[in-house]
Amino acid sequence: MSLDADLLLLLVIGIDLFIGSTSRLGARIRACALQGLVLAALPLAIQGTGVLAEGERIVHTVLAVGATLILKAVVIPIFLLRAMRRSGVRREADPEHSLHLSLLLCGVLVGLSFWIGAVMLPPQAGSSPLGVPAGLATMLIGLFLTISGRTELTQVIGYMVLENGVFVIGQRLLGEFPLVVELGVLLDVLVAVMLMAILVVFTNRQHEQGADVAAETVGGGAP
Amino acid sequence: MTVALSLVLFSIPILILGGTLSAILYRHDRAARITGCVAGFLGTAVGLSGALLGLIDGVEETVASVWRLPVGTVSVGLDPLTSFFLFCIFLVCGLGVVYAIGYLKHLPGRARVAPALAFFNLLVVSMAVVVLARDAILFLLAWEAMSLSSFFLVTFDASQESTRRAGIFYLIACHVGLVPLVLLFVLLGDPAGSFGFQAIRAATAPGGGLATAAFLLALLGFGIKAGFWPVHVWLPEAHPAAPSHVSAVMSGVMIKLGIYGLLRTLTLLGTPLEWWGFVLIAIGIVSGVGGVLHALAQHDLKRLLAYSSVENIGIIALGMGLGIVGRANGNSTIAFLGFGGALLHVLNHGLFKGLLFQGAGSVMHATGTRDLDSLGGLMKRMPVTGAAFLTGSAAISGLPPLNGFVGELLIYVGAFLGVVELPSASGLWTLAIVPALALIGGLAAACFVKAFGVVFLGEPRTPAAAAAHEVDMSMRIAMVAGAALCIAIGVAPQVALRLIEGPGALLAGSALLPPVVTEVLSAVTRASLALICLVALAASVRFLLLRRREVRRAATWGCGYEAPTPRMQYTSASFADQVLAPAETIFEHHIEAGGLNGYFPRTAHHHERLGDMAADRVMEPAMGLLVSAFGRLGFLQQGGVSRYLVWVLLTVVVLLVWQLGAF
Amino acid sequence: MFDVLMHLAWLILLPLPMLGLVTVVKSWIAGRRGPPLLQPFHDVVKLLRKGAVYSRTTTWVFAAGPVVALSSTVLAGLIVPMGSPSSPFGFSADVIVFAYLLGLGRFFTMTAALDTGSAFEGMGASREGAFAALAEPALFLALMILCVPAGGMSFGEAFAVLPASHGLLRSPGLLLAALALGVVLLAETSRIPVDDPNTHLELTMIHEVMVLDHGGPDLAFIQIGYALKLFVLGSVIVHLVLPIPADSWTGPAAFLAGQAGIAVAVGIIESVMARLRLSRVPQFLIGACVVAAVGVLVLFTGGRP
Repeated sequence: MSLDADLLLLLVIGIDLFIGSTSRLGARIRACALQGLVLAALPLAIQGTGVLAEGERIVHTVLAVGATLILKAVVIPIFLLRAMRRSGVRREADPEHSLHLSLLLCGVLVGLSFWIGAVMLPPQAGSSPLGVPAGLATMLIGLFLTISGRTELTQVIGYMVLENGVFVIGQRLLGEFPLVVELGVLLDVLVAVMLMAILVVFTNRQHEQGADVAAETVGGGAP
Repeated sequence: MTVALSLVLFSIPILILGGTLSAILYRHDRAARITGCVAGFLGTAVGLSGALLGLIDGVEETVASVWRLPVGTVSVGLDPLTSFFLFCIFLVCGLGVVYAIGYLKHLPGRARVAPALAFFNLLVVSMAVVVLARDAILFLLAWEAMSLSSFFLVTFDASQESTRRAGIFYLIACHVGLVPLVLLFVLLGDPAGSFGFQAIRAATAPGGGLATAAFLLALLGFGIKAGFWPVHVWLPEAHPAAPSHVSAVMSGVMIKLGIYGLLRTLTLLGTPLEWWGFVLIAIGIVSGVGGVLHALAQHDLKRLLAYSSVENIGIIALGMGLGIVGRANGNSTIAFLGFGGALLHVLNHGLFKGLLFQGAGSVMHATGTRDLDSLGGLMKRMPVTGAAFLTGSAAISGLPPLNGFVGELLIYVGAFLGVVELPSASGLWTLAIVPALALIGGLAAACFVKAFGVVFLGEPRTPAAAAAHEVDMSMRIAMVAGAALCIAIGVAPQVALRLIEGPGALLAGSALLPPVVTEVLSAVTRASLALICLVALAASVRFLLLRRREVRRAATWGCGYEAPTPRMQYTSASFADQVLAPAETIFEHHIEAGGLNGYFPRTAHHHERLGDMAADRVMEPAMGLLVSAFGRLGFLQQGGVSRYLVWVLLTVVVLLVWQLGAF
Repeated sequence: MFDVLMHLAWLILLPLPMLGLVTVVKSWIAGRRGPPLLQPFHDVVKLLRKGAVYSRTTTWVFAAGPVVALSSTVLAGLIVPMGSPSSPFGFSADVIVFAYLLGLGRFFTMTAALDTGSAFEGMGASREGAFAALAEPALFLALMILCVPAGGMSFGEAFAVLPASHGLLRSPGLLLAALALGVVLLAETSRIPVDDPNTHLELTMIHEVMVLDHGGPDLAFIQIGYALKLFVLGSVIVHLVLPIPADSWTGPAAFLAGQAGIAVAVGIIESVMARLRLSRVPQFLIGACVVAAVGVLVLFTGGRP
């Protein structure tokens, strides 16, 4: 059981819970970015346990880490933050107490994923026992956020979290890093985020702002 | 027949005789009261000694009766489980009788005393027979007698519309609960070829489909009586309506017979399946948390206590669930801790809930109201009642050094051992018990601080509360005795262990007492004694410090405001609001307020009511469905006698064809 | 015998200076010199030498509040080990007794508050009840994490196993338990971000407003009990975070350093954080519960001993 990977995965769960318990969109996006950062560090922690010696894998790892870092931790969050500022929505419009409920529900989802992890996918020797539960929990919470989101932006954030979960679980289940899977995942994210962001802008144009602002966002966001 | 069983059986004619005599003396209140109470006291005392003897000697015997019913012999018997529940019944009812001597002296209105005592004695007898019964027919008969006699007690004050409504509601709930029980015993008795418990036990294969069906039926039928969520809805209606010495008994022991029924069914079904335990744990968590949240929201003292019974039944269900999980896993230590904790809590809850209902009765007696926000400041006017109520409140919050703590402690330890010793999937379930119990404890403490504080502390909120007086000697004796027992069990739980040892071992399926139990309980004694010594020490230090000093009396500090009025006090609603705020989403919160207009508003009103989630969102829609379903059968009921006779004839013919066709 | 004496000495001598240390740290960060370390001690002595004024509304329940609160906290202090893995008064299942003793003290503080008949005290009691109920599951789950590796529910067994098997950083479960216990400590001792011990407005207080009407020796009892609570909960966390060996010198030294560290941490938190809005506090506490629950789950997944 590798210590670093354990702590990182714990951090992933912690960030999930934080995202589930705050209503401020800026905080959610930043937490998402932090999660991307943690995910980028994850292959290092795992590869560090012994496979690092093989030359080809180093290239693989570096590539994967770099791509993850740039996309999940930098590009997409910046894009989302910009969309948030343009749309003028800062907060999820929810009453206070439903946040208690949302946090509790996230806790239940974490418990559920631990249970599923224990029953269905027992950890293989040498890998962190937290991998599958952390991935599942992130996926479930992402799904929950996507479902419960009232605005397009929160749905996009939920979707991002969901993709992060897929990332963790894919990595844990396959044990290594096939580039195809990873690229597929990233592509998924990219396309989804683009689509949804355009949707955000589109509705904004319809509802609130003038067409020129929206056009500028589309121009700047989707080169 | 052993002495123990004869003593117990002997108490029955005493009680019935006393009850009948008091009914005959209907027109003479004083004579009726004295006969009823004396006979009640004698009967419960005799029964109590029999039950105690049975527990200490571990008597196990069954006696078949000389009289026969068409369905077979009727038999009664004594075993540790029966003796334990008999002990609880006679103890709490005995205290109730003592209380009734004074309580029934001044009845409101022109109500006659006799029914309150005659049916009370009948209730005690029927409860005793329920636990003594060794075959299903006698059991169901006694069960029905228990329901009916308590129905007449609930509707004692029938001049009020609300009481009549509550009574009818209760009667319906009882009979709905009877249906699954009849089904249960038919289901079990059919393969056994007899309704005797012995035969049923021998014929039922453990863990089969039959056993599961039986368990689920028992869960529903006995759950309605016990007050599991969401079928507890009759409880907060019926308990406040009954006279207080009766609510004490109904809440203290009668609903526990639902627990007894469930436990007895378990002994008939052999080794239980593990998921039954999971179901009970889930029910326990929901009942416990739901019950205490609803209790917090109440403004009526007796309704609050009724909801708190739901909470405590939840704690008992947690213990039983833990016991089943332990038993199913073959771990007799955990099984004993679970079942033992549940049984101990049955006894403890009987004691402190009886005490609290009696306290509520005394408050009503002295002030004429149960509305929390009309009370206040009673501690000065009713010091004995207040002190007893405080003891009961601390005990029901599960605080050391009182008895409520001991039962919960056993369940905690069992749940912990479950986490350490059982396989993961079971361990997770027993783990869930720990935070649930902790949350229930914390909320119960808040709830009873509110109940005690708003009623007894501060300044009286109405003239009626200001004019309150201490109640009769007999009522005080009953309450002080209850409080003393609460403290005694808290300080010396080994005594209570002697009581639950037998039934606990019977349920856990192992005769050995786990060493961890004695170890934990002796630790409780040490801690309790140390705590009492420390409190005494701190109190004497305080006394010595203040002895020579100036001690003055003044108005309560109000930021310099020198003329506070009682109306400025925090009310029960405002106290509960903060606690309930996080849970607001699960309540139906009806607020009706208005009148606060302009700079100098003249009158304003604020009325709020928290609905019962189970009643509003589960039972109401379910009943709606049922009513519309039965509406389809309306064509059967058209009022003509000849039409009804046709239905009877048809039924007979169909049954005959079906039965004869089978041959 | 030496152990017992040392335990008692610490229980008597250290809690009030620890409270003083928190204030000193806060002052330093704010750029002030701050009161002396022993200021809380002087305050208590002054209070103990005073007479008392009681409200005409109150009964003996009001006087019983501080007495019971203090003595239950003292007993809790006797149960928790301080600087060595065992304590003078440890027994089996003492972890649960410990938690319930804190509950007992709270129960009587709350009833005493309601005895004054003032809306201020009622408000404080209501808040205390609400937040304590939510903190309770977190406390129990965290204590559970503590006890599972040892397989026994007493501090003695738990702390004897901890340094040997794994310290904090070797086990993520323990890390989460420490986190949850930290939140419980802040909530139980009414510190920022749950409550502000220095606030001047009764309407915003929790603990302080409950004891508004106490004076003289009663108030001194409350202050001592309060400092003790901080110290006792702190020592649970110290034992959890630092693997304290049974050695007669390094153990106590590490313990003292740990307690000082906790005081500093509380001081820093108070300096850099604002108080949460009252309606946000439940979420903070529910968060602690969830964190502790995740800790237990991690312990489960990580293979139980």
